[in-house]
Amino acid sequence: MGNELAGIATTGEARMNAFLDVCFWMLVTVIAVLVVYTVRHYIFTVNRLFGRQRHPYVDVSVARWPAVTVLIPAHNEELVIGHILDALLAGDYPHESLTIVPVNDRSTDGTREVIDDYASRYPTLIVPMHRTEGASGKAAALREASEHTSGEIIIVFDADYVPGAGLLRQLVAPFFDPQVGAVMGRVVPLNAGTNLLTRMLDLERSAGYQVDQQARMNMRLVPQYGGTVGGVRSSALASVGGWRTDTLTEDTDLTYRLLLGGWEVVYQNRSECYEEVPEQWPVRIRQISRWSAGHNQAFRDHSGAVLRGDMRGFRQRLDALLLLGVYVVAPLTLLGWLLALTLWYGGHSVSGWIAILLVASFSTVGNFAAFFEVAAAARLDGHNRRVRLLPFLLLGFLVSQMAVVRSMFTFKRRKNGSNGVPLVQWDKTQRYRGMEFGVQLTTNSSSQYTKHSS
Amino acid sequence: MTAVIAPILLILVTVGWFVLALFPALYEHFARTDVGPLRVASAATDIRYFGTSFQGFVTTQLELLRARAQNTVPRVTSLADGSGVWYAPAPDVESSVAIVFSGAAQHDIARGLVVMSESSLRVPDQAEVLKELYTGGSLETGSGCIFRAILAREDAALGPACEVLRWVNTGGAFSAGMESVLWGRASSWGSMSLSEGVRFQRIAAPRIELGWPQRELKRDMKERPLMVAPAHVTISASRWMVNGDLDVPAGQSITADVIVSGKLRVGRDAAILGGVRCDVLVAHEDSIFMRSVIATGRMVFGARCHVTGPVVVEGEVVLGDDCRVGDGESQTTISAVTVRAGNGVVICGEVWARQQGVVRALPSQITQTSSAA
Amino acid sequence: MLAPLRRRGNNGTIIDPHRSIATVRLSVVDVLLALGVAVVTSVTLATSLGAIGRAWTWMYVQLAGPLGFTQGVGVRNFDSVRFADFAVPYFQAQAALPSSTIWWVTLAVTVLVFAASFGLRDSLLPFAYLLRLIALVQCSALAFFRIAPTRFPYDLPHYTSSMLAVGMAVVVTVPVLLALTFYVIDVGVARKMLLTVAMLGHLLVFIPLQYALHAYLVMHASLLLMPLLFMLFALLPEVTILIALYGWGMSWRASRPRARRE
Repeated sequence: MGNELAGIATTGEARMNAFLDVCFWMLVTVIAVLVVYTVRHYIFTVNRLFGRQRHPYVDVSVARWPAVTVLIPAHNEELVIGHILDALLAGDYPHESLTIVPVNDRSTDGTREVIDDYASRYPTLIVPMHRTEGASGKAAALREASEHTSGEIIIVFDADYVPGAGLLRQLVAPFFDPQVGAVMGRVVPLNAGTNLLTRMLDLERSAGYQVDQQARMNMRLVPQYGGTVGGVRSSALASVGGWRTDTLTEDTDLTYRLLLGGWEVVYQNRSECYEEVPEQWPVRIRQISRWSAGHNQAFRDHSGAVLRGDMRGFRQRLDALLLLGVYVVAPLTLLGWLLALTLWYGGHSVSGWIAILLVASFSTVGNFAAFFEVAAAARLDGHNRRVRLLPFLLLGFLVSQMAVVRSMFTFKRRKNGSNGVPLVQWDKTQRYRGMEFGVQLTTNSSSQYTKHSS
Repeated sequence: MTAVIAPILLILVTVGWFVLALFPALYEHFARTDVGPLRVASAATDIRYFGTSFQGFVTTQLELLRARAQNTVPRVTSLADGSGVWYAPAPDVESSVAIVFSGAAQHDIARGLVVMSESSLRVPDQAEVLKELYTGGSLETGSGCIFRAILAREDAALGPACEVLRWVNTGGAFSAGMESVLWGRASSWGSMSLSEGVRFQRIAAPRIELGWPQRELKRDMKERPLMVAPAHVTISASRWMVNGDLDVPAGQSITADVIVSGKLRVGRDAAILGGVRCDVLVAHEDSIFMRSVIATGRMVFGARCHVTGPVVVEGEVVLGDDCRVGDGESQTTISAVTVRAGNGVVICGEVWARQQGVVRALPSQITQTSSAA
Repeated sequence: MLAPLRRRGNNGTIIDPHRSIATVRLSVVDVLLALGVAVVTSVTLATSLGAIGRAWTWMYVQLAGPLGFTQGVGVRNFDSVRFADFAVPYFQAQAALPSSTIWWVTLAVTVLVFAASFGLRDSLLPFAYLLRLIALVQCSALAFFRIAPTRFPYDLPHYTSSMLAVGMAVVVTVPVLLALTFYVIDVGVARKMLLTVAMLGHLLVFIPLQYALHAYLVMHASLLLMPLLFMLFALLPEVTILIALYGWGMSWRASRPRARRE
């Protein structure tokens, strides 16, 4: 009897040890993936800080400019739509080659009236489109509007953006390269200093564009078209099947379809444009949830094609894959954390000084790469002192992690509506800007010379 | 008592020591010393920006200087902000020319006087003007002069071996003598003429003539036989995609956009009507490019080539003798790290040589150089 | 001689390249200097391991009495560290398994914390998430000690000494960390040394205090608290300190104008 009990205990012990071993190797795998992303962060940052910077098209300031259609999808944007129309009208893109199409999609506020007022004053430049039927959402609005445009190039701005006078030319310049299918500019938070959240988002945006996107441009990898402050060549769009309306992030989806179709996506760090970032945490959570759900959808849709080698070059393929998987890192981290907790409870120990060093190294150096990137970006922006907020980003990361993990479940359910029809609707970020901003914009755009600027 | 105080002290010291590390973060959070958004330029970037904005500054200053002037003799005085200026009022005789340094020692001007002249201005040999120079008329300089910045309402002619450190903008024609150096931006609302040996960075004018006197060349738009796509060309969305090199035979043409991952060789008198993207471009004499030409490596154009659209190179571009880039009807841009232009080259628009451009006689057989590219 | 004037505005200030194209200068000398500082710091640390261990032991001896660890302080040697006589202290006391009362009280507090996290206003949402995370980890501990309390594999002396060793490992990685992410930045050698000393000095004081506090809490609240302390209050505060000080260092002004590489 005693022997039997001892045998059962030994078997249980063996099973437990086998289970812990499995957990251990799963943890090793998770850490290996995270290490890859850490190295990626580090390489990008070092490249951006010290490497040769590529911005080949930014000097093109004089040329015979192609016909451009600017699409501004708008849903209940009465507070801001006038500002972007004013800004575009004040731009230096030749008006004979420019058509501005505000796409009002079922707005229930005064958006329609504002747009119609502008259209009546600038009938040759502003050609509004009011949607009252068909699929809802930004992608659907873009799809329908694109079908009715004749411009060689389509530039897209969200309604809360405020393009500078020279921005359109800068964004169109890369399209002189016949291989370029899409262009992305840099997004700069206008309400950066409102509260701690906006300050953190300002740092994150800075890292994302100033370092991440530019490094990918430098290294000829995969800069991402972000759906606003950017554009796409009409023929390229048509060749890959147009905007998809059944995706939450039509921009990421389009990036990959263009790449797989042999087009290039380029990033212009100099082409900066103000946007508004969320000022409240719930708004931020909704935003990042939508991004991650859409991104993960793109991962499912395109990772196979990327792996099969439908793109040129190993490095580009690897980067494309890592970019697709960027929102998988959050659940992986959570998984790693749970595995570590399980192993710890199980008393599984990889003993020895080396193991201790490895754990400590990963906790420090591994975690540090992202902070290195953020700090480097802010320094390059010349805003050193805001880097001191770095430790607060830990809280931001925690919220993002949770939001991303949660979105894996909630958005899946939303996408599949009760009748099986894809349910992608307007999920826009709340606007904070008041009407008075228009006055401020007009004042700023009249440049005043000071002798000291030369 | 100790049993209560000691742990409380331990907690306080540990937490306090932890928070001490967070002090810079907390200070920045509450003091908000760096909260403003990045300043995004709302104005368009124009090569003439410094010139036009300095003109605005000059206009306000001239009113003050005119009010103070008692006669037409140039003199050293001060601007509204107290900085020194050598000011030449409008002369009695309309056609007369003021000479910088009359009324001021050379080293005073070199050391820090702004120069402002209501009428045309002449600068003697070897002069240094290390602040801005403005003339309401034209400017003529001797050889070996050094300027920080020049704004001339009319023509400006720099003598040989002159140097401009920051920018020059002229309302009329601008010319630079042999071996001059134009750092920064040089722009003209009229024409621009740079002699052989001139080095430059960013230049812009409706017509820029480089090197020896230009000849009138007509672009030959005769019908050329269409090139048949070789087997290794993939045609996608009206583009010729080539993974490797591509040779366009002499005298033939392509109507599509051409994207070549390697070297694109364009034979003599060939024409590409679409845009071009390649790593290296070698274009032989008299070839024609009707749209943009983009290269990630290097570009060499043989003599008398014509390009209508923008030329963008991430390395060097070599323009053979008598090349034409852009035309009077459609100005364009050349952007490269280095630009080497032969004699007789005419460019309508802007040239951005990020490191340096130079006007230099090229070997007579530029195509030999091309083959080595 | 006039070359510098090409990069100066008319009021004499240096004209920086636009942020979109700006880079940081890094010469071979800078790289060698970064490596040099990292090597010197690492060697200094390695040769000081014994002294640091002795200093921590002295600290624990001073704390043992006032904190109620009447059995004194033990020392654990790490023989695998061959280049130094490295040993870390621990309090000679065993923490008890949670009693039923402690278990139920902890459960109540955990539920309260979790519920309270939903009462925080929106602007404090990250803290609400943190509280939920704390509650989640504590729930795992409650479950473990409910199901298999005797299988808990750690005791207090082993936990304290192991965590001090891990803390020391974190300290040892600091020069490597800084070599990769800070010494390459153009802030000047003096400031590089200053940040190194600040980080190392801060951690070398914080780590023993941190684990002395852990030991005290576990001793009085039972082993039920150990998982939470291990998961969220061990390496995380140490890394937070490093990030905070790093952020401070990276906020310092550049010692040279920015470059432009195209």
